[in-house]
Amino acid sequence: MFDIENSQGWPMPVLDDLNRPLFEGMKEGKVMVQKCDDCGTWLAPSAFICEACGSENVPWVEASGKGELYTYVVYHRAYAPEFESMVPYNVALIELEEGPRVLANVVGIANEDLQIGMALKPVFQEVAAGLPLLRFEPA
Amino acid sequence: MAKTEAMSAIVGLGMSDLSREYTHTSWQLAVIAIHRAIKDAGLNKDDIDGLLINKSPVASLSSLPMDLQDYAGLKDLRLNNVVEAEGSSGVQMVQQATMAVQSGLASTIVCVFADAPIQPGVSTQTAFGMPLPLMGKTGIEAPTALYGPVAAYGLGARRYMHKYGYTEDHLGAVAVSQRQWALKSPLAMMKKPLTMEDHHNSPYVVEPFHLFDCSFPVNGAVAVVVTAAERAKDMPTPPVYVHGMGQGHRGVTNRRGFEPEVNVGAKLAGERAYEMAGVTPADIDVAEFYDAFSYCTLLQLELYGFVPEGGAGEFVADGQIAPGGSFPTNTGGGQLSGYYLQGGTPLSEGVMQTRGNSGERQVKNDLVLSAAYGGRMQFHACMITSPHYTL
Repeated sequence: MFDIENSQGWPMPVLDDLNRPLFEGMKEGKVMVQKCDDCGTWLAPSAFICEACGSENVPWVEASGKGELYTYVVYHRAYAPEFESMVPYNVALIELEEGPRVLANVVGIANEDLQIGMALKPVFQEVAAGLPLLRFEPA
Repeated sequence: MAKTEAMSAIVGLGMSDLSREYTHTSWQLAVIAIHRAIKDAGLNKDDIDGLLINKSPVASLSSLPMDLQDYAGLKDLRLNNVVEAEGSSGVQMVQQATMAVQSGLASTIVCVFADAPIQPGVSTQTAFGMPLPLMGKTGIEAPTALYGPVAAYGLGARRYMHKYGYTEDHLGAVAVSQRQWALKSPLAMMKKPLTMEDHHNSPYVVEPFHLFDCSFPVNGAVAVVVTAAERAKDMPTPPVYVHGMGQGHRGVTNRRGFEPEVNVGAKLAGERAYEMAGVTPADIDVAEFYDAFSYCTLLQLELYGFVPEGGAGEFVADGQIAPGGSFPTNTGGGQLSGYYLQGGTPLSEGVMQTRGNSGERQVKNDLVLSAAYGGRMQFHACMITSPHYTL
Protein backbone atom coordinates (compact mmCIF):
# COMPACT_ATOMS: atom_id res chain seq x y z
CA MET A 1 0.00 0.00 0.00
CA PHE A 2 1.29 3.38 -1.01
CA ASP A 3 1.38 5.54 2.09
CA ILE A 4 3.52 8.57 1.41
CA GLU A 5 2.43 10.35 4.56
CA ASN A 6 4.00 7.58 6.62
CA SER A 7 6.82 6.35 4.41
CA GLN A 8 9.84 5.59 6.53
CA GLY A 9 13.49 5.85 5.74
CA TRP A 10 13.43 8.47 3.03
CA PRO A 11 13.47 12.28 3.31
CA MET A 12 10.10 13.70 2.30
CA PRO A 13 8.52 17.14 2.44
CA VAL A 14 5.48 17.86 4.54
CA LEU A 15 2.56 17.17 2.22
CA ASP A 16 -0.08 19.81 1.67
CA ASP A 17 -2.61 20.79 -0.97
CA LEU A 18 0.10 22.36 -3.11
CA ASN A 19 2.30 19.30 -3.47
CA ARG A 20 0.17 16.25 -2.63
CA PRO A 21 -1.04 15.62 -6.22
CA LEU A 22 2.57 15.28 -7.38
CA PHE A 23 3.23 12.45 -4.95
CA GLU A 24 -0.26 10.90 -5.23
CA GLY A 25 0.40 10.66 -8.97
CA MET A 26 3.47 8.52 -8.35
CA LYS A 27 1.25 5.96 -6.62
CA GLU A 28 -0.60 5.48 -9.92
CA GLY A 29 2.50 5.69 -12.10
CA LYS A 30 1.61 9.13 -13.39
CA VAL A 31 3.76 12.19 -14.04
CA MET A 32 1.62 15.04 -12.75
CA VAL A 33 2.05 18.68 -13.70
CA GLN A 34 -0.38 21.57 -14.00
CA LYS A 35 -2.09 23.22 -16.93
CA CYS A 36 -3.97 26.49 -17.09
CA ASP A 37 -7.64 25.91 -17.87
CA ASP A 38 -7.97 29.41 -19.33
CA CYS A 39 -4.92 29.93 -21.55
CA GLY A 40 -3.63 26.39 -21.89
CA THR A 41 -0.11 27.04 -20.59
CA TRP A 42 1.54 23.96 -19.12
CA LEU A 43 3.02 24.78 -15.73
CA ALA A 44 5.75 23.25 -13.60
CA PRO A 45 4.40 22.35 -10.18
CA SER A 46 3.49 23.78 -7.84
CA ALA A 47 1.68 26.67 -9.43
CA PHE A 48 -0.96 28.53 -7.47
CA ILE A 49 -1.80 30.76 -10.42
CA CYS A 50 -0.92 30.63 -14.09
CA GLU A 51 2.21 32.74 -14.49
CA ALA A 52 1.24 33.48 -18.11
CA CYS A 53 -2.31 34.83 -17.61
CA GLY A 54 -2.87 35.02 -13.87
CA SER A 55 -5.74 32.54 -13.86
CA GLU A 56 -6.35 30.57 -10.67
CA ASN A 57 -7.69 27.63 -12.68
CA VAL A 58 -4.52 25.55 -12.77
CA PRO A 59 -5.61 21.93 -12.26
CA TRP A 60 -3.19 19.03 -12.04
CA VAL A 61 -3.07 16.97 -15.21
CA GLU A 62 -1.09 13.96 -16.33
CA ALA A 63 1.85 14.59 -18.64
CA SER A 64 2.98 12.00 -21.17
CA GLY A 65 6.18 11.51 -19.20
CA LYS A 66 8.36 11.86 -22.28
CA GLY A 67 11.08 14.41 -21.85
CA GLU A 68 14.66 15.36 -22.37
CA LEU A 69 17.55 16.14 -20.07
CA TYR A 70 17.79 19.89 -19.50
CA THR A 71 20.62 19.96 -16.97
CA TYR A 72 22.06 17.78 -14.20
CA VAL A 73 24.55 17.55 -11.38
CA VAL A 74 26.40 14.56 -9.91
CA TYR A 75 26.84 14.19 -6.17
CA HIS A 76 30.05 12.57 -4.99
CA ARG A 77 29.09 12.56 -1.34
CA ALA A 78 25.89 12.10 0.62
CA TYR A 79 24.40 14.88 2.70
CA ALA A 80 21.94 12.51 4.40
CA PRO A 81 22.57 8.87 5.43
CA GLU A 82 19.70 7.60 3.24
CA PHE A 83 21.64 8.63 0.13
CA GLU A 84 24.96 6.96 0.96
CA SER A 85 24.33 3.83 -1.09
CA MET A 86 23.48 5.96 -4.17
CA VAL A 87 26.77 7.90 -4.34
CA PRO A 88 27.74 8.92 -6.97
CA TYR A 89 24.22 9.91 -7.97
CA ASN A 90 22.71 12.56 -10.20
CA VAL A 91 19.90 15.05 -9.82
CA ALA A 92 18.48 16.47 -13.03
CA LEU A 93 16.00 18.89 -14.46
CA ILE A 94 13.95 17.14 -17.12
CA GLU A 95 12.03 19.15 -19.70
CA LEU A 96 8.78 17.31 -20.39
CA GLU A 97 7.51 17.32 -23.95
CA GLU A 98 4.61 19.52 -22.81
CA GLY A 99 7.15 22.12 -21.65
CA PRO A 100 7.35 22.11 -17.84
CA ARG A 101 10.63 21.10 -16.20
CA VAL A 102 10.66 18.73 -13.25
CA LEU A 103 13.37 17.69 -10.83
CA ALA A 104 14.25 13.98 -10.64
CA ASN A 105 17.08 11.47 -10.63
CA VAL A 106 18.07 9.80 -13.90
CA VAL A 107 18.73 6.07 -13.50
CA GLY A 108 19.72 3.21 -15.77
CA ILE A 109 22.72 5.07 -17.18
CA ALA A 110 26.22 5.86 -15.96
CA ASN A 111 26.56 9.45 -14.82
CA GLU A 112 29.42 10.05 -17.26
CA ASP A 113 27.14 9.09 -20.15
CA LEU A 114 24.51 11.74 -19.36
CA GLN A 115 24.05 14.20 -22.22
CA ILE A 116 21.97 17.37 -22.15
CA GLY A 117 19.15 16.91 -24.65
CA MET A 118 18.98 13.11 -24.39
CA ALA A 119 15.50 11.54 -24.52
CA LEU A 120 14.11 10.22 -21.24
CA LYS A 121 11.05 8.35 -20.01
CA PRO A 122 9.63 7.96 -16.52
CA VAL A 123 10.25 5.04 -14.18
CA PHE A 124 8.88 4.64 -10.67
CA GLN A 125 11.31 3.16 -8.17
CA GLU A 126 10.39 2.18 -4.63
CA VAL A 127 13.15 3.97 -2.72
CA ALA A 128 11.47 3.18 0.59
CA ALA A 129 8.46 1.11 1.60
CA GLY A 130 5.39 2.78 0.13
CA LEU A 131 7.29 5.41 -1.85
CA PRO A 132 7.53 4.72 -5.61
CA LEU A 133 9.58 7.80 -6.48
CA LEU A 134 9.33 9.31 -9.96
CA ARG A 135 12.66 8.97 -11.73
CA PHE A 136 13.68 8.95 -15.38
CA GLU A 137 15.71 6.61 -17.57
CA PRO A 138 16.93 6.73 -21.17
CA ALA A 139 14.03 6.37 -23.62
CA MET B 1 28.44 62.69 -21.51
CA ALA B 2 26.23 64.56 -19.03
CA LYS B 3 27.91 65.15 -15.70
CA THR B 4 26.49 63.22 -12.82
CA GLU B 5 26.98 64.07 -9.17
CA ALA B 6 27.24 61.50 -6.45
CA MET B 7 24.04 60.24 -4.81
CA SER B 8 25.58 59.33 -1.47
CA ALA B 9 28.89 58.32 0.02
CA ILE B 10 30.24 55.41 2.01
CA VAL B 11 32.37 57.01 4.72
CA GLY B 12 33.03 54.16 7.12
CA LEU B 13 33.98 50.49 6.80
CA GLY B 14 34.25 48.04 9.65
CA MET B 15 34.82 44.30 9.66
CA SER B 16 34.89 41.83 12.50
CA ASP B 17 37.71 39.33 12.61
CA LEU B 18 36.93 36.57 10.11
CA SER B 19 37.05 32.96 11.20
CA ARG B 20 36.45 29.45 10.00
CA GLU B 21 35.79 28.45 13.59
CA TYR B 22 33.04 29.55 15.91
CA THR B 23 34.06 32.48 18.09
CA HIS B 24 31.03 34.76 18.45
CA THR B 25 27.33 34.80 17.68
CA SER B 26 26.14 36.55 14.57
CA TRP B 27 24.84 39.57 16.51
CA GLN B 28 28.10 39.88 18.42
CA LEU B 29 30.04 39.93 15.15
CA ALA B 30 27.59 42.56 13.87
CA VAL B 31 28.12 44.78 16.90
CA ILE B 32 31.89 44.56 16.52
CA ALA B 33 31.69 45.52 12.81
CA ILE B 34 29.22 48.35 13.48
CA HIS B 35 31.49 49.98 16.03
CA ARG B 36 34.57 49.55 13.87
CA ALA B 37 32.73 51.19 10.95
CA ILE B 38 31.58 54.12 13.11
CA LYS B 39 35.11 54.61 14.42
CA ASP B 40 36.55 54.35 10.90
CA ALA B 41 34.21 57.16 9.84
CA GLY B 42 35.48 59.34 12.70
CA LEU B 43 32.01 59.35 14.22
CA ASN B 44 30.56 58.15 17.49
CA LYS B 45 27.48 56.03 17.92
CA ASP B 46 25.27 59.00 18.75
CA ASP B 47 25.88 60.35 15.23
CA ILE B 48 24.14 57.28 13.77
CA ASP B 49 20.42 57.70 13.05
CA GLY B 50 19.79 54.73 10.79
CA LEU B 51 20.44 50.98 10.89
CA LEU B 52 19.97 48.48 8.08
CA ILE B 53 20.52 44.83 8.91
CA ASN B 54 21.33 41.90 6.61
CA LYS B 55 21.24 38.36 7.96
CA SER B 56 21.92 35.22 5.99
CA PRO B 57 18.71 33.93 4.39
CA VAL B 58 19.25 30.56 6.06
CA ALA B 59 19.86 32.07 9.53
CA SER B 60 16.98 32.66 11.91
CA LEU B 61 15.56 36.15 12.30
CA SER B 62 16.44 35.99 15.99
CA SER B 63 20.13 35.59 15.10
CA LEU B 64 20.20 39.19 13.87
CA PRO B 65 16.99 40.88 15.02
CA MET B 66 15.93 44.49 14.86
CA ASP B 67 16.94 44.97 18.48
CA LEU B 68 20.50 44.64 17.22
CA GLN B 69 20.07 48.38 17.76
CA ASP B 70 20.15 47.78 21.52
CA TYR B 71 22.97 45.24 21.44
CA ALA B 72 24.98 47.92 19.59
CA GLY B 73 23.82 50.71 21.90
CA LEU B 74 22.28 52.82 19.14
CA LYS B 75 19.65 55.36 20.27
CA ASP B 76 16.98 57.52 18.65
CA LEU B 77 17.16 55.95 15.20
CA ARG B 78 15.00 57.35 12.42
CA LEU B 79 15.42 54.22 10.28
CA ASN B 80 15.71 50.60 11.39
CA ASN B 81 15.04 47.68 9.10
CA VAL B 82 16.06 44.12 8.33
CA VAL B 83 16.71 44.08 4.59
CA GLU B 84 15.75 40.65 3.29
CA ALA B 85 16.76 40.25 -0.33
CA GLU B 86 18.88 37.14 0.21
CA GLY B 87 22.43 37.46 -1.02
CA SER B 88 21.75 40.72 -2.84
CA SER B 89 21.01 42.48 0.47
CA GLY B 90 24.59 43.54 1.05
CA VAL B 91 24.36 45.92 -1.90
CA GLN B 92 20.64 46.59 -1.48
CA MET B 93 21.34 48.02 1.98
CA VAL B 94 23.53 50.71 0.44
CA GLN B 95 20.83 51.38 -2.15
CA GLN B 96 18.19 51.79 0.54
CA ALA B 97 20.50 53.92 2.67
CA THR B 98 21.16 56.14 -0.34
CA MET B 99 17.44 56.63 -0.91
CA ALA B 100 16.91 57.32 2.79
CA VAL B 101 19.69 59.92 2.82
CA GLN B 102 18.39 61.58 -0.34
CA SER B 103 14.81 61.70 0.94
CA GLY B 104 15.81 62.98 4.36
CA LEU B 105 14.47 59.97 6.24
CA ALA B 106 17.83 59.56 7.97
CA SER B 107 21.25 61.12 7.58
CA THR B 108 23.92 58.70 8.79
CA ILE B 109 23.12 55.05 8.33
CA VAL B 110 25.01 51.93 9.32
CA CYS B 111 24.47 48.91 7.08
CA VAL B 112 25.64 45.61 8.51
CA PHE B 113 25.89 42.02 7.31
CA ALA B 114 26.82 39.34 9.81
CA ASP B 115 26.72 35.58 9.76
CA ALA B 116 27.99 32.70 11.84
CA PRO B 117 27.16 29.59 9.79
CA ILE B 118 29.84 27.67 11.65
CA GLN B 119 28.40 26.86 15.07
CA PRO B 120 29.51 24.44 17.78
CA GLY B 121 28.73 21.00 16.35
CA VAL B 122 28.14 22.33 12.81
CA SER B 123 31.15 21.84 10.56
CA THR B 124 32.14 23.98 7.60
CA GLN B 125 31.14 21.06 5.37
CA THR B 126 27.56 20.74 6.58
CA ALA B 127 26.68 24.33 7.47
CA PHE B 128 24.54 24.73 4.34
CA GLY B 129 23.84 21.02 3.63
CA MET B 130 20.06 20.91 3.81
CA PRO B 131 17.25 20.73 1.24
CA LEU B 132 16.48 24.22 -0.05
CA PRO B 133 13.27 25.22 -1.82
CA LEU B 134 14.23 25.61 -5.48
CA MET B 135 11.34 24.19 -7.44
CA GLY B 136 8.37 26.11 -6.19
CA LYS B 137 6.34 24.53 -3.42
CA THR B 138 6.66 20.85 -4.23
CA GLY B 139 9.30 19.92 -1.68
CA ILE B 140 10.66 17.54 -4.33
CA GLU B 141 14.24 18.53 -3.44
CA ALA B 142 14.32 16.25 -0.37
CA PRO B 143 13.28 12.93 -1.98
CA THR B 144 15.43 13.55 -5.05
CA ALA B 145 18.39 14.12 -2.69
CA LEU B 146 19.06 17.66 -3.91
CA TYR B 147 20.66 19.00 -0.75
CA GLY B 148 22.46 22.30 -0.28
CA PRO B 149 23.13 25.25 -2.54
CA VAL B 150 26.07 23.68 -4.37
CA ALA B 151 23.90 21.42 -6.51
CA ALA B 152 21.32 24.13 -7.12
CA TYR B 153 24.07 26.27 -8.63
CA GLY B 154 25.60 23.23 -10.28
CA LEU B 155 22.41 22.74 -12.27
CA GLY B 156 22.74 26.31 -13.51
CA ALA B 157 26.44 25.93 -14.20
CA ARG B 158 25.99 22.76 -16.24
CA ARG B 159 23.32 24.37 -18.41
CA TYR B 160 25.43 27.51 -18.86
CA MET B 161 28.55 25.48 -19.72
CA HIS B 162 26.53 23.47 -22.24
CA LYS B 163 25.22 26.64 -23.89
CA TYR B 164 28.65 28.13 -24.54
CA GLY B 165 30.84 25.04 -24.62
CA TYR B 166 32.65 25.94 -21.41
CA THR B 167 34.70 23.27 -19.68
CA GLU B 168 36.17 22.73 -16.24
CA ASP B 169 39.24 24.56 -17.54
CA HIS B 170 37.16 27.73 -17.77
CA LEU B 171 35.81 27.27 -14.26
CA GLY B 172 39.30 26.51 -13.01
CA ALA B 173 40.67 29.66 -14.62
CA VAL B 174 38.34 31.71 -12.43
CA ALA B 175 39.52 29.93 -9.29
CA VAL B 176 43.19 30.25 -10.23
CA SER B 177 42.85 33.96 -11.10
CA GLN B 178 41.11 34.77 -7.86
CA ARG B 179 43.66 32.89 -5.80
CA GLN B 180 46.33 35.14 -7.32
CA TRP B 181 44.42 38.14 -6.01
CA ALA B 182 43.92 36.48 -2.63
CA LEU B 183 47.67 36.09 -2.21
CA LYS B 184 47.88 39.89 -2.35
CA SER B 185 45.15 40.47 0.24
CA PRO B 186 45.82 40.35 3.98
CA LEU B 187 42.11 39.66 4.56
CA ALA B 188 41.91 36.58 2.33
CA MET B 189 41.44 33.22 4.03
CA MET B 190 43.22 31.20 1.31
CA LYS B 191 46.96 31.70 1.52
CA LYS B 192 48.50 29.06 -0.76
CA PRO B 193 49.03 29.38 -4.52
CA LEU B 194 46.56 27.40 -6.65
CA THR B 195 47.32 25.86 -10.03
CA MET B 196 44.93 24.52 -12.65
CA GLU B 197 46.26 21.07 -11.79
CA ASP B 198 45.37 21.61 -8.12
CA HIS B 199 41.90 22.67 -9.21
CA HIS B 200 41.32 19.65 -11.43
CA ASN B 201 42.77 17.26 -8.85
CA SER B 202 40.58 18.53 -6.06
CA PRO B 203 37.55 16.34 -5.33
CA TYR B 204 34.17 17.11 -6.77
CA VAL B 205 31.74 18.55 -4.25
CA VAL B 206 28.83 18.34 -6.64
CA GLU B 207 29.93 17.86 -10.25
CA PRO B 208 30.63 20.05 -12.27
CA PHE B 209 32.10 21.83 -9.22
CA HIS B 210 35.44 20.80 -7.85
CA LEU B 211 36.26 21.88 -4.31
CA PHE B 212 38.00 25.02 -5.57
CA ASP B 213 34.96 26.09 -7.60
CA CYS B 214 33.11 26.61 -4.34
CA SER B 215 33.29 29.28 -1.67
CA PHE B 216 33.41 28.15 1.93
CA PRO B 217 31.56 29.21 5.08
CA VAL B 218 33.15 31.99 7.12
CA ASN B 219 31.94 33.58 10.33
CA GLY B 220 32.21 37.34 10.24
CA ALA B 221 30.59 40.71 9.72
CA VAL B 222 30.93 43.74 7.46
CA ALA B 223 29.48 47.17 8.23
CA VAL B 224 29.54 50.42 6.29
CA VAL B 225 28.38 53.95 7.12
CA VAL B 226 26.41 55.73 4.39
CA THR B 227 25.75 59.46 4.45
CA ALA B 228 25.13 62.42 2.13
CA ALA B 229 27.71 62.78 -0.63
CA GLU B 230 28.39 66.39 0.34
CA ARG B 231 29.64 65.36 3.79
CA ALA B 232 32.23 62.87 2.57
CA LYS B 233 34.99 65.34 1.79
CA ASP B 234 35.12 66.37 5.46
CA MET B 235 35.42 62.81 6.73
CA PRO B 236 38.73 61.14 7.63
CA THR B 237 38.60 58.32 5.09
CA PRO B 238 38.94 58.64 1.29
CA PRO B 239 35.42 59.22 -0.09
CA VAL B 240 33.55 56.40 -1.77
CA TYR B 241 30.87 58.10 -3.83
CA VAL B 242 27.84 56.16 -5.03
CA HIS B 243 26.96 57.15 -8.60
CA GLY B 244 24.66 54.45 -9.83
CA MET B 245 22.68 51.48 -8.64
CA GLY B 246 20.36 48.90 -10.08
CA GLN B 247 18.45 45.74 -9.39
CA GLY B 248 17.35 42.86 -11.59
CA HIS B 249 14.93 40.08 -10.71
CA ARG B 250 13.73 38.34 -13.85
CA GLY B 251 11.70 35.59 -12.23
CA VAL B 252 12.31 31.89 -12.67
CA THR B 253 10.12 30.11 -15.21
CA ASN B 254 10.73 26.39 -15.28
CA ARG B 255 9.45 25.52 -18.72
CA ARG B 256 10.49 25.41 -22.38
CA GLY B 257 11.35 28.76 -23.91
CA PHE B 258 12.93 30.11 -20.75
CA GLU B 259 16.48 29.66 -19.53
CA PRO B 260 16.47 31.15 -16.03
CA GLU B 261 19.84 29.58 -15.22
CA VAL B 262 21.55 31.73 -17.87
CA ASN B 263 19.29 34.76 -18.29
CA VAL B 264 19.67 36.09 -14.78
CA GLY B 265 18.86 39.61 -13.60
CA ALA B 266 22.41 40.95 -13.62
CA LYS B 267 21.81 42.47 -17.05
CA LEU B 268 18.79 44.46 -15.84
CA ALA B 269 20.67 45.58 -12.74
CA GLY B 270 23.69 46.72 -14.72
CA GLU B 271 21.69 48.59 -17.36
CA ARG B 272 19.99 50.75 -14.73
CA ALA B 273 23.20 51.43 -12.82
CA TYR B 274 25.14 52.46 -15.94
CA GLU B 275 22.28 54.70 -17.04
CA MET B 276 22.14 56.35 -13.62
CA ALA B 277 25.89 56.98 -13.51
CA GLY B 278 26.01 58.04 -17.16
CA VAL B 279 28.70 55.49 -17.98
CA THR B 280 29.08 52.30 -19.99
CA PRO B 281 30.60 48.95 -19.03
CA ALA B 282 33.74 49.95 -20.95
CA ASP B 283 34.28 52.79 -18.45
CA ILE B 284 34.38 50.46 -15.43
CA ASP B 285 37.89 49.73 -14.12
CA VAL B 286 37.26 46.86 -11.74
CA ALA B 287 34.38 44.58 -10.75
CA GLU B 288 33.66 42.93 -7.43
CA PHE B 289 31.11 40.13 -7.73
CA TYR B 290 29.28 37.83 -5.41
CA ASP B 291 31.06 34.67 -6.58
CA ALA B 292 29.86 31.80 -4.43
CA PHE B 293 30.75 29.48 -7.32
CA SER B 294 33.31 29.93 -10.08
CA TYR B 295 30.86 30.05 -12.99
CA CYS B 296 28.98 32.95 -11.35
CA THR B 297 31.90 35.23 -12.18
CA LEU B 298 31.84 34.14 -15.84
CA LEU B 299 28.12 34.78 -16.13
CA GLN B 300 28.29 38.17 -14.41
CA LEU B 301 31.22 39.30 -16.58
CA GLU B 302 28.94 38.69 -19.55
CA LEU B 303 25.64 40.07 -18.25
CA TYR B 304 27.19 43.22 -16.75
CA GLY B 305 28.52 43.84 -20.22
CA PHE B 306 32.28 43.47 -19.78
CA VAL B 307 32.54 40.73 -22.41
CA PRO B 308 30.07 39.43 -25.01
CA GLU B 309 27.72 36.67 -23.92
CA GLY B 310 29.63 33.45 -24.43
CA GLY B 311 32.95 35.30 -24.28
CA ALA B 312 33.83 35.10 -20.60
CA GLY B 313 35.40 31.65 -20.72
CA GLU B 314 38.13 32.55 -23.15
CA PHE B 315 38.62 35.97 -21.50
CA VAL B 316 39.24 34.41 -18.11
CA ALA B 317 41.31 31.53 -19.48
CA ASP B 318 43.50 34.20 -21.06
CA GLY B 319 44.24 35.66 -17.61
CA GLN B 320 42.32 38.87 -18.17
CA ILE B 321 40.68 39.02 -14.70
CA ALA B 322 43.85 38.02 -12.83
CA PRO B 323 46.50 40.45 -11.55
CA GLY B 324 48.06 42.08 -14.62
CA GLY B 325 45.00 41.35 -16.77
CA SER B 326 42.92 43.90 -18.62
CA PHE B 327 39.93 43.75 -16.28
CA PRO B 328 40.74 43.13 -12.60
CA THR B 329 37.88 41.19 -11.02
CA ASN B 330 37.28 40.06 -7.44
CA THR B 331 40.49 41.71 -6.36
CA GLY B 332 40.28 40.50 -2.78
CA GLY B 333 40.16 36.90 -3.96
CA GLY B 334 36.37 37.03 -4.04
CA GLN B 335 34.39 34.50 -2.11
CA LEU B 336 36.30 31.58 -3.64
CA SER B 337 39.62 32.55 -2.06
CA GLY B 338 38.95 35.67 0.01
CA TYR B 339 36.00 35.34 2.32
CA TYR B 340 32.36 34.39 1.90
CA LEU B 341 30.33 37.04 3.64
CA GLN B 342 27.53 36.99 1.06
CA GLY B 343 26.84 40.51 -0.25
CA GLY B 344 29.33 41.81 2.29
CA THR B 345 32.17 40.47 0.16
CA PRO B 346 31.70 42.63 -2.98
CA LEU B 347 30.58 45.49 -0.73
CA SER B 348 33.72 45.53 1.39
CA GLU B 349 36.21 44.96 -1.43
CA GLY B 350 34.44 47.54 -3.59
CA VAL B 351 34.77 50.10 -0.82
CA MET B 352 38.45 49.28 -0.29
CA GLN B 353 39.27 49.51 -4.00
CA THR B 354 37.36 52.77 -4.37
CA ARG B 355 39.27 54.25 -1.43
CA GLY B 356 42.45 53.51 -3.32
CA ASN B 357 44.46 52.27 -0.37
CA SER B 358 44.38 48.54 -0.97
CA GLY B 359 48.13 48.05 -1.03
CA GLU B 360 49.55 45.41 -3.31
CA ARG B 361 46.17 44.58 -4.85
CA GLN B 362 45.11 48.17 -5.56
CA VAL B 363 44.11 48.74 -9.17
CA LYS B 364 42.92 51.72 -11.21
CA ASN B 365 39.69 52.68 -9.51
CA ASP B 366 37.93 55.62 -11.15
CA LEU B 367 34.83 53.48 -11.48
CA VAL B 368 34.16 50.35 -9.45
CA LEU B 369 31.22 47.98 -9.93
CA SER B 370 30.11 45.98 -6.88
CA ALA B 371 27.42 43.40 -7.49
CA ALA B 372 25.61 40.85 -5.36
CA TYR B 373 22.96 38.23 -6.00
CA GLY B 374 20.81 35.90 -3.99
CA GLY B 375 18.57 32.89 -4.31
CA ARG B 376 19.45 30.53 -7.12
CA MET B 377 21.31 33.47 -8.72
CA GLN B 378 17.92 35.11 -9.32
CA PHE B 379 17.99 38.34 -7.27
CA HIS B 380 20.61 40.89 -8.36
CA ALA B 381 21.70 44.27 -7.07
CA CYS B 382 24.70 46.38 -8.02
CA MET B 383 26.24 49.77 -7.45
CA ILE B 384 28.87 51.92 -9.12
CA THR B 385 31.25 53.78 -6.84
CA SER B 386 34.05 56.25 -7.48
CA PRO B 387 36.54 58.40 -5.58
CA HIS B 388 35.23 61.33 -7.67
CA TYR B 389 32.25 63.40 -6.56
CA THR B 390 31.45 64.35 -10.16
CA LEU B 391 31.71 62.02 -13.13
